[in-house]
Amino acid sequence: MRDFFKSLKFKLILCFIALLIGIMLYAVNQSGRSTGSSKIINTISEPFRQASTAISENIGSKIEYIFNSKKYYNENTELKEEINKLRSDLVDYENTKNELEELKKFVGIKEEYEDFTLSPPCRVISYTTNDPFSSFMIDKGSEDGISLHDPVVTSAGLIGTVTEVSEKYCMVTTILSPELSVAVKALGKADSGVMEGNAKYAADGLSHIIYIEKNSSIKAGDTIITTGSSGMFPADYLVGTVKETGSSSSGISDYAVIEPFADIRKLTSVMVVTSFEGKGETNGY
Amino acid sequence: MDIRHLSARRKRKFAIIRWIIFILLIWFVFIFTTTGNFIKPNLLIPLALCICVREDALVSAILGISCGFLIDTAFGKIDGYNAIILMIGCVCTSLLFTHLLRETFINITVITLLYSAIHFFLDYFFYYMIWEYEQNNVILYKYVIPEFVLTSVSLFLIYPLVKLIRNHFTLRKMHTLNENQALIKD
Repeated sequence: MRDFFKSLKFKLILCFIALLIGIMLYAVNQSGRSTGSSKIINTISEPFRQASTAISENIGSKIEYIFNSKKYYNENTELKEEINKLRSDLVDYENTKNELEELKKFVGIKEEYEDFTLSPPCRVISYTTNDPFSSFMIDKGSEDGISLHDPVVTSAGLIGTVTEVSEKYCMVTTILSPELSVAVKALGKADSGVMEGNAKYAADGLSHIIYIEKNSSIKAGDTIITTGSSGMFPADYLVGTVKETGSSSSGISDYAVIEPFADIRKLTSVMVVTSFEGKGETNGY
Repeated sequence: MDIRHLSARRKRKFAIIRWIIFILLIWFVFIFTTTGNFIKPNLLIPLALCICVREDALVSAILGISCGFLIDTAFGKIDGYNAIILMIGCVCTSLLFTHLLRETFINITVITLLYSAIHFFLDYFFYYMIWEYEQNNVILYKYVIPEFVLTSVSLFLIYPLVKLIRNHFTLRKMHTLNENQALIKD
């Protein structure tokens, strides 16, 4: 063993350690830009990960079909009874509406928010392994006009923000993470607060709003939208619904638990808002 | 002389095949690790430790760095963080099994458990504890401990697999009758 510490091998290993510390310090200094090693690994592994994600989704849906067949059967029976009560024109209307909703899934965002410049639809390549806050990687990057801190959305609602960007891929930090703070308010009400993730709620796919004024009118069922005051997120974009409210442990403010409109833990595609009205303009926050 | 030359060539051939299989296995494990959004074991830890049990310290260091970078990428950590920790783990494992320990399943289990405990504690400490996130204990119970348990349990699958590959693709020193006669003549 003593010989080992005097050998060239040991000196080489010490050099490796010094080099790795250098790489780590360089990576920390990059603040959001991918470093060489992760860029190489991600570029090489991207097609494999996409293929494996596709296989996993396929197997997952089949497993779900097998295990939930009884549940689906019961739901189907209930739905059939309900449909029988409805008039045939209402059925036609529902079918047409559903089809339209599917078609407008992404186009709808653009129609509703004319000031948005959207990236092409981005496929979720993979979620960060065992991340409590469900951050994920998408298959579009700076080549598609995406830049750091661009908001990430679906037609259902706000998802998060871009926190690491490379030419061909991006990392997204979601609204479940405590690292992301979003100024929000209740739709049709003056009450506002700051939405921040929390480990307890993130495990169930929920987020929470803090710093709500004491005895505010926010209550369960309220729709939460962005205020756009930070200039990081577009104003009046849907976020989620209030699940429960309460008083914070300090007692000086209230909090609200939010169920995001989009199921953040099971996303397959998202869009990045590369430009919107008021981007970069702060308003009092 | 011919026998020695042939033997060295065969040994090299076996080593190349063995390492190709190990590299493919590491790649497969990495792809598995990055698939789906559910709690998964960190299979790269037991895999790297099991491989370097019978490898040279320098080879183990390179293996540790490579697997560490893959862990950094899959688990969203700073580049180089896991590379340093796993490299130290792999070099220590290699040295321990070269100089002090016999290669038994119990010994490898103890080393893997010890390394995994240090690894997951450091992960939890640097990524969650020092940032004082609210309800940090939820992360510990729902993510860190299950991941540690799954990683430890996965050794029961990884170790026999690595051993099987190594036994199949390592040329053992065997003297055939012809070789013995040739040696006597020399």
